Amino acid sequence: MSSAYLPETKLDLFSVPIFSRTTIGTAIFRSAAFFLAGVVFLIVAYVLSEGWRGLTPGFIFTRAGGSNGEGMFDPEHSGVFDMVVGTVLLVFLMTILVMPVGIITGIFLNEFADSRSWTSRIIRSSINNLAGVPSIIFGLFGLGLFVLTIGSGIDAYILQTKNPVWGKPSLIWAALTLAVLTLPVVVVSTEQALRAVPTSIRDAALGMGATKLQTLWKIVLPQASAGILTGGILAVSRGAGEVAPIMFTGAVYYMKNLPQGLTDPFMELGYHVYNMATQSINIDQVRPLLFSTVTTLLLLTFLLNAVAIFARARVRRRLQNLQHD
Amino acid sequence: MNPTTTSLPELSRGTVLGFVPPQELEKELSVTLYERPGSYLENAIIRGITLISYSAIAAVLLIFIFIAKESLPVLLQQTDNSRSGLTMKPEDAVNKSPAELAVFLQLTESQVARLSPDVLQQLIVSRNEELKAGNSPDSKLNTTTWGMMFLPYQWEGYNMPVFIWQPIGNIEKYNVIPLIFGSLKITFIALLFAMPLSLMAATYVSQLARPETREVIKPFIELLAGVPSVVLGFLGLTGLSVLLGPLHIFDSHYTPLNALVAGMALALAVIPVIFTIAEDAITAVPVTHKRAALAIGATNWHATMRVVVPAAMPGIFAAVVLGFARAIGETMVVLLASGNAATLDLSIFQSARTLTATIAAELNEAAQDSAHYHILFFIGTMLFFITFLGNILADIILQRLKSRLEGSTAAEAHRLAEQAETQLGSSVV
Amino acid sequence: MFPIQSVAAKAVVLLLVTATGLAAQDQNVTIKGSDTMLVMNQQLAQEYMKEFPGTNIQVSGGGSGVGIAALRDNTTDIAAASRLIKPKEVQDFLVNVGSEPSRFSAALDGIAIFVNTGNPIQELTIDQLGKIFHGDYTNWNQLGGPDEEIDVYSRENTSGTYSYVKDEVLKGADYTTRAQTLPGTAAVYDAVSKDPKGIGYGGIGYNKGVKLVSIKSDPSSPSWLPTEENVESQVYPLSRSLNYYLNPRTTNQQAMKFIQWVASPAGQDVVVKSGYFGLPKVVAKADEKTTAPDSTSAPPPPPARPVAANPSQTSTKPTSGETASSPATAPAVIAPTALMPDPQLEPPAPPPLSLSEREARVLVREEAVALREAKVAEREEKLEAELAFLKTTKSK
Repeated sequence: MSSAYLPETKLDLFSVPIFSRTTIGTAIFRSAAFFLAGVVFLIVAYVLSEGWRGLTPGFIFTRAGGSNGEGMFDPEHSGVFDMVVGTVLLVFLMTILVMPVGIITGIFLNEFADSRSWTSRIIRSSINNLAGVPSIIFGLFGLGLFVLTIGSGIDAYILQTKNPVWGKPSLIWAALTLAVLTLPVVVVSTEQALRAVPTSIRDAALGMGATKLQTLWKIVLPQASAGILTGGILAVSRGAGEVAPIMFTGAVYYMKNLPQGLTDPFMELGYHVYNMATQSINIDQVRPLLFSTVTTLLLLTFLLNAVAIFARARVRRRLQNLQHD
Repeated sequence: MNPTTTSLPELSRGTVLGFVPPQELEKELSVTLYERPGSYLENAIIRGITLISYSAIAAVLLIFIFIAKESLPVLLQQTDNSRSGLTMKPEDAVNKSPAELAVFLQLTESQVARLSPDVLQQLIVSRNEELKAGNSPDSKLNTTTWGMMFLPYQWEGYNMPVFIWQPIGNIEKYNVIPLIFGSLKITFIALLFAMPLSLMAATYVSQLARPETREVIKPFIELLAGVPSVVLGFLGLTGLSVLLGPLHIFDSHYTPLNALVAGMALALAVIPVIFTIAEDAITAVPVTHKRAALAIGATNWHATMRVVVPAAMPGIFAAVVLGFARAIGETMVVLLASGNAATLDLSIFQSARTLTATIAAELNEAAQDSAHYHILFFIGTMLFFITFLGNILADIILQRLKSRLEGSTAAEAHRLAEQAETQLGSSVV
Repeated sequence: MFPIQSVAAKAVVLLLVTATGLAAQDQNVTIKGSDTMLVMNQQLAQEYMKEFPGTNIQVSGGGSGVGIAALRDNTTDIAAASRLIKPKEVQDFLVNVGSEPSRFSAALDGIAIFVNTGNPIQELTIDQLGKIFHGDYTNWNQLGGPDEEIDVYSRENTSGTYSYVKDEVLKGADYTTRAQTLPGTAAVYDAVSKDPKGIGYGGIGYNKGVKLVSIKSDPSSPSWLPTEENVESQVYPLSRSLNYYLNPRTTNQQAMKFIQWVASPAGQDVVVKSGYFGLPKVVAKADEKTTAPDSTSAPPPPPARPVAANPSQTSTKPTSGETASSPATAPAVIAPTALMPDPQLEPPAPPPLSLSEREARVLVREEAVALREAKVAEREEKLEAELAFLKTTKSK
């Protein structure tokens, strides 16, 4: 009976023809996305397949000079322990230096400054510009400002020594240079993390009589902490791969000892890859070593990136749940 | 006389009519909440936070001052590398006035005054050698003038005016046009690959993909940002150049390391930048827009392409602009993979030399304070300005997008409400 | 008021000193400069430290210009340079430091010309090479090869090899704009080994996977391959020296000792192992002869031509003030006068005038030409003798 009121054919709202603009367009877009993911997969697979054989614990924990003194290019005996230590020390120092400044700048931009005011606009565009400066310029800047101006100044006026102690390329100056380089990464991700905290939560805290700083410290920052941490990790992975800025400010190609103080230079993975790729005598002989070193570097940065990506995904999901509630 | 500007603001404030409209109440509430004075200590802390955040400005300014200072001799055209052939006998140094010596040695008078006669003689010998003219008529030219750096010139041995960058040799040739051309060529190729791929991928990941697919693909593409550029350059040098080798059938001038190889390797460095920003911009479009489109019968594809993507267009454009800035500033990839020949050849199968690779390769060896050194810094200044302009452009566009789409702040909501009210009022009047 | 300030100052100094760490126990020597010499410097340093434990040599790159600038700024003991110091840099030193750094040759870099293994070209004249690199010849069939474009591979224009080839092969003319410049000699070899149309140049030590072309100065003269024999005897015409510049202000005894060790047979072995050529043995042998009777234990002084003024001139300023403040460097500080009488450390007396890069090369070349002529004469004699012998045996 009631069927009389229904239309003759069922109205199809959901299925689409196979060769419509929709299906073809979606297919093209999907293939683009999968292609990119595939390219990344290929790169990683290529490097890993070339480098995994050499990538033993022994390789990572053997000193660069090799256990039996055969030199740095002996695929059997030389390791990358010095470079790993140097890289870790460098990014650790860099993180200590960049995180406070970056986080505070991010907080200022998002919490205290009116986004239309001139101050915030100038700071914001400064940070964007900092991200766009070619990395080689950072190297020269670090050499000119940190090593030759500040370092030599300390030597001449505080220590009053003629033999350079601070006024030479070293760990601390390279870390400072990298800190300036990675500042935008930290600022931008801090800002994003803070922006993701719903205004309603802030309003609630303020409405209950908390001061601005109390709200920030007790309510907003804990919510945003994972996102801010993500920024730090991204900065570390960016810093770990940079070569040009540290070339003039502290990285050495070879030294016997591990760095023992802030004013010692250090060996670094990215710099080592660059030198091996361009300066080695016999490319074929060094290739396994080179790929193992590249793999070490890639795994280091990928590990950090993966942590950052997962942390961010978790934060996003939590915030989405918050908003829905 | 425009009535909207004179009478209506008073009306909208509500003070004249003696009652407080609801929006005004909300505004007052937000003022009391957000602008309540804190304690002395809190104010000091906030002041400190403000001060520290100025350090970003300080860093950019310092870097800019540093680059500009080193390129100043070129900008002011004070460099002169002509080999005049003029010489001064070292023995005559005693008879010359400090001013004359200072001019000859390109030093200041106070510097000259500090030197011992012995050192002065050595200086003059060295300077004589520097000024020793070659047998080519070109050696008397100052090749660091604007004309020499930007216009073609017919050098000895050439039968027509040419653009040449060969900064080492008896006659230093500093024409930067091939370098600018090379940078643009490789950047263009990189964007040609990176732009469509990453924008399509961003749209797909943000709007079309199922959540499970997105969770897998997005981290994968973003991992690309974690590949150090030296590794990308190395892969271009050893992998891509071999992979693209068979393309030589298209061009008899084909060289294994060429703009195409460098452009594709560079695209890998640019893709994460464009992808991340575009994906953010597309995701930022309020979901209500899309739901409205779906509700009136559009498919997911049509809702995405006709509603969401157009709304995110400024953000997408900003992503491309930032990608461009990244591409033109990238050093290691092009240094390793482009072949670095400073040509003006349009073919993508020919090698090209970029501004950044030139700085990276030559600054190491250039003598400090020489004309070459200053010109490399001048190139650095140019790059700084290119990225600066790109960033400002992207900044303005993103700002516009933000006020158009993103969850507007309370203050902005009031402003919009006021505007609406004024328009309403003006139409009534 | 005052005591507090001085206590604060002392605390700052203490903090800065402790932050410098424990590195003071070893004697540090820093070598900075040419990327070309990086691998060689590293291997030399490692070998040296094995022989003399207790020294800590730091090797870093960045380029010859960076190395020389670091020398001027007193941030390195030795600058490694694949080119000679430029007049501008000499003037810079004279104004800021008061003296030039002294130069010591560490190794020779012979320059091989090579093509792909599939290329039938056997020998080229310098003139033909110049025309290839300048872009006058663009096809191999102009030189009797297959009908294919010529791909020219070159080193970065800042490398010493680049300017050497520009001066000696191109006679000052420009490279063709189509020449690809690659970072590093190994990259040039690698590229030519993969490119059937390629031609490139670079140090012979990197020779791998390519075909070397023998070179003759004019069509009628004999051609030479850059074999070990020919280069050691300096018959092969294309070579340049890799140099160390010593900081004129350094009080570091180890730096000088290291430079001398590099010139010794033990050091030269490492040089050869790292892909470069040893310094001309003729000179080294002559030095050995002269020095051997005096001190048998002493390594022969470096057969270098220091171009700068005597280092003893440089240390006119007293260095007494710095010993107390910096315990890190205390063992290294020695009175400059004490350095000089030591026969092991006395640098060879330098000629008073400075040689330009070209003049220095001409000198090396003249020696080489003389040697080459002698060799040719020797070979011809041998040939004639053989011929005579053959004739006599035939007639019998």
